Amino acid sequence: MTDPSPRDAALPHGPGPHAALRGRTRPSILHRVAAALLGGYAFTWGFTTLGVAGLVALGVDFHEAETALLLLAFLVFLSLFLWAFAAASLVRVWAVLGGGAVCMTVAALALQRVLLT
Amino acid sequence: MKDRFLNRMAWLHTWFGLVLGFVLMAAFFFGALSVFDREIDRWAIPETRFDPQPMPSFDAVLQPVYAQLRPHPDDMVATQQRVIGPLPHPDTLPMSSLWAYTTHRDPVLRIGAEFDVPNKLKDDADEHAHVHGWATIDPRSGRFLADDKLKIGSDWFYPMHYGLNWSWMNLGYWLVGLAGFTMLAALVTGVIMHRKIFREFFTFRPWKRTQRSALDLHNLTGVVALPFHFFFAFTGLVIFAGSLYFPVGHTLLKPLHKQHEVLEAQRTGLPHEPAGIAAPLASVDAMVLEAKRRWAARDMPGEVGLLSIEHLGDANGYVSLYRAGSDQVALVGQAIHFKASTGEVLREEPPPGAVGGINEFLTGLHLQHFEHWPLRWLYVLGGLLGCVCIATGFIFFVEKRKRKHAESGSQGSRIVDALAVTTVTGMMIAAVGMLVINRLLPADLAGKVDWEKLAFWGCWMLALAHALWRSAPVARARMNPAWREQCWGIAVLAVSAVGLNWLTTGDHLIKTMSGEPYWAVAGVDLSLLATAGIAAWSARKLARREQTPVAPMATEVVHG
Repeated sequence: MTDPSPRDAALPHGPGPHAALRGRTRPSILHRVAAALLGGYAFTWGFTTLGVAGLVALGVDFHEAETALLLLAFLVFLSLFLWAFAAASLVRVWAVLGGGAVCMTVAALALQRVLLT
Repeated sequence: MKDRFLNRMAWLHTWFGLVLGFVLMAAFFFGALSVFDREIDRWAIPETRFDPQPMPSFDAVLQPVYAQLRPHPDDMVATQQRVIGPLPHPDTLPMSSLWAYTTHRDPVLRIGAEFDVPNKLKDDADEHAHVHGWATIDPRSGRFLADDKLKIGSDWFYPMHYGLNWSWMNLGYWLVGLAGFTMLAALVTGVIMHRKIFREFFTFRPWKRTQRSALDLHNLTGVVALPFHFFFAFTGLVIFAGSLYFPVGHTLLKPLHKQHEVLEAQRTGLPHEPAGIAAPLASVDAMVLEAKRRWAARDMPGEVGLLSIEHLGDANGYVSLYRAGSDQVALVGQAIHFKASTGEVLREEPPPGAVGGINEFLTGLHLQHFEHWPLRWLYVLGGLLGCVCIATGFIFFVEKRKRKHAESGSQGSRIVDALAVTTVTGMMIAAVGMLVINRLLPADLAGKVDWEKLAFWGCWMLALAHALWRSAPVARARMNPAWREQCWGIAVLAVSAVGLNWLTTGDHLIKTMSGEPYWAVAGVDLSLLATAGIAAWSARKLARREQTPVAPMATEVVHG
């Protein structure tokens, strides 16, 4: 209510959003959409897998762990998705999401191997 | 910096909302109809218009029924593609497990079974060497109901709600999943965009231009039902997360999952594998009595909602009885497992853990099998508010652009508007048109199911063609008359459906409301009449709006 910024410039349904993206080329928008959706999804996969394996390692029942992580999964994905749209650098988005996905998935598989032996 | 953030959130809201809004609309609309899926089934299959029945006696009614149940031809075809060598004749395949499921709203009983197949599987990772059989029976007599009657509520509108009835590569599920995820993102970005949320909450100016009143209504319905929308989109995703969207336990963590199952079998005493020794089946009715006695002793008397038998005819076989969820949020629960050959209790399941309890509560609230009719209607209202929110989003998108597009000669808003007509009124024409065709076609017509499905898609395609054909005025910044014409279409179809129901079954409203009350059918009829009334009222309002001259190009910035 007491927002000091010039409100009109940021009006969501004003000319703002399109003016902001008009300068950009179409591929760059598609690139961001892909990073947000695919990168966010891959990261969430890694997070879920590592989370389940980690909780099982801590002695939590497998299904209890799975349920807990699946309840968290879409909230994590949603946050990552919005962050990927807000972030300044797409390279950083890919590095965090892709790198995170790979690291967590590898860690989860390693942990699973330890748990099964 | 802050502006860029807001602009990007607005872009996300606008474009994801537009593209996936068309799918989201179907999920919300058919979800709202699914609240009364069983009642729509009764309307569409008149021979099942009798009162809901409890789970029948297994020993007297169900056992002879299962003896006649065979693998379903559809699943024989599907399974044949996954195994090496030809499958044996379906009559020779042994039944290895079975289930029966009912709720407090079901007159008919759904049953199913798995049959072992001797063939080797093509894919080593595929462990499911079974073929399935299923049927719907009249639980009063054990009579099989004809397999070619489409349960329009629970087998068409309901799966439309979460999978668009498009099973190819599960694409329908993925599209609805993406749309549900978009709903979450749209709600968050919507709140970010509309920071003056409480002022907008009380702002609705229907007398203003379409553009402004559409935005008011979009904000109002979005905010007033925000928890509802977020909850349903979120739990809808969670329901399918484990099997479809994030199936970690069936893919990357499958070894861990398998190890858990084996340990679990040891811990609970419920055998994971058959013993390979034949054994008879003790009286299941006695087990049902014992289960009911134990539930009553825990101060939660109830009926059996789900009955299943694993390792049928084997010494390791066990019977599981789950309590129906008529008086609880969780669907079924408080399972008690019995040794199939003796009837002794193997295990009485403890209450779920904290996380399991939360999950049961959340998914149970989404799937609402409990007995509470006012709450059921609130669900319908919430679903329809979601539809209004999405539809006004479309209208705002078009209204905001169409003058500019009319000047520049762009066809963008014209196409979006035609798609909006198809998704709003066209979808209702498809749904009501299907009910009309259901009453027009004779009950014993061969392939009636396929005709009904064809009518559904056909009506929808016609609505699309009509919306595109009539869309030219939008390119001149006027209104597409298809909105009004399709509203009349809905009104005519809905009244016809009620009339045809009377003519073909004799069940008119006076009879179903007071003579021999049958609220399932009366409710569908009354809803159809209400729909017709609202559609006709809308058509008249739209006609008046079409007459008003085009407003001059707006100079005001259209927002709050």
